[in-house]
Amino acid sequence: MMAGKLLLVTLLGGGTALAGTATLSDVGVERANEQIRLRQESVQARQHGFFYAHRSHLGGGLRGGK
Amino acid sequence: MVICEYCGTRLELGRDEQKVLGKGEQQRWQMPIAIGDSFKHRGTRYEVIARMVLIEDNDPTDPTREYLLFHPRRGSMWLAEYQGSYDLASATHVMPQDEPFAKARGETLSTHDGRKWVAVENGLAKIAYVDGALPWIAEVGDEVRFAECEAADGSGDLYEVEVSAGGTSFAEREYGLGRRIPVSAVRRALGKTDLPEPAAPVESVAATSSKFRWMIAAAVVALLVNGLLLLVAMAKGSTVLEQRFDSSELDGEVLSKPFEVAKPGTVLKVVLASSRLDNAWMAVDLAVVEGEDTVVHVTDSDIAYYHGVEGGESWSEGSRKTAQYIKVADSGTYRLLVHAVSARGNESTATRCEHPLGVRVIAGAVRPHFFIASTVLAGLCLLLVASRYNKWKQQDDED
Repeated sequence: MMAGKLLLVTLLGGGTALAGTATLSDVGVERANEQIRLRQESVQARQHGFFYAHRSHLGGGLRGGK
Repeated sequence: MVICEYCGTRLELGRDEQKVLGKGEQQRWQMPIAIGDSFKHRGTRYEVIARMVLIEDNDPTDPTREYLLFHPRRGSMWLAEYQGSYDLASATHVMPQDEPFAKARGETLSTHDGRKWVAVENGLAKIAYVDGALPWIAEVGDEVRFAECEAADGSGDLYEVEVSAGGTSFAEREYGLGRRIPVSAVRRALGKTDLPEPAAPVESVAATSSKFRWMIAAAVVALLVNGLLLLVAMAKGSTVLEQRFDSSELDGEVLSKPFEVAKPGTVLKVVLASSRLDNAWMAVDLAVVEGEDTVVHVTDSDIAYYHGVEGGESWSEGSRKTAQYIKVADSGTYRLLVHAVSARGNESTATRCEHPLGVRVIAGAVRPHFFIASTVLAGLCLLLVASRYNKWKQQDDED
């Protein structure tokens, strides 16, 4: 029972502390630190728009049937 | 009543003449304490004048042995032994405030002397063996309902209630007050060094119950704290942009209205919602533009929502809404560059957007996912501990 108490306190206290630290540290938040000149990119690299190189999405969740 | 320890003859002594109630063979039980043995308690000699073996659920392998200790002026006491552990009790007039037989293991009982007790066990015991001189007529097969409680203050004191089974609510109840005593003290009191050690340490029900309650309280506090922190995290930030884009705008690339970020290192929560998405998907490209034309971040996001009925049951998966958390280094004016394609669920690629998109930017937001996890963890801990507590309450102490 003593071990159970210790485990519970570790889980609850550790979980809360970890959640607080991770939240305050913005873990999982994307960092905006690029420096791309929109007009320069437009002139030098792309023919069809800024996102041309990034268009890689695949949808079709119903293709296999449900 | 006297029962001969050798032949089992039962004699009633209540009248002028002794009356033989019956004569019968009794199962021989191993009794380490004999009729006539002396028991020294606080400098006073008591004598063992009667012995009983009580069993529960007709299980003869797990008996309780009780010895009546007699003193002509100080009253009688009962020495009880179960699995090698002893307790010593005497009659008391202290009455319970609640019904002791209604208390489940671990529940609290109050007595009129202001003390709190924790229910250990209540059940039905049958007399399997009896000999010696008893102040009432007892026979093998008689049943006794009992409730046993332990002091909530951890003193080790015991409070017991007994009533003849099958009686009405007006049946005579006997109340006993006692305490656990170590086998070493029993050996000294009896002058017997060969009494066996207890099979296992006696579990303190009061201490276990207190620990369970402490653990439940800790889990409740953790659940409340994490739930509160989750609510605070979810409510953080203020909306700085809310804009709806038509599908025709998203076909190309569209810049949003500008919005201000007041502090460096602000986290932006970008909520993308397409309320008309129905068994369809949308792939969104997103760039955060600082000032007029500096892209500081490029990301993408998928939104998909499917639903239907299969085998008579409705199903759905995905969501019409998603969110991204982006931290910008500097304060200033920002815009979003947005592009999207979308299609029905049975199409794997798309070059055009068929659905509108709503974009909302909340500045100063906090990613709440870790508090969701910690709240769920606290909730699971609470469920687990409460479930184990309930299971423990329903267990007999012999399990």
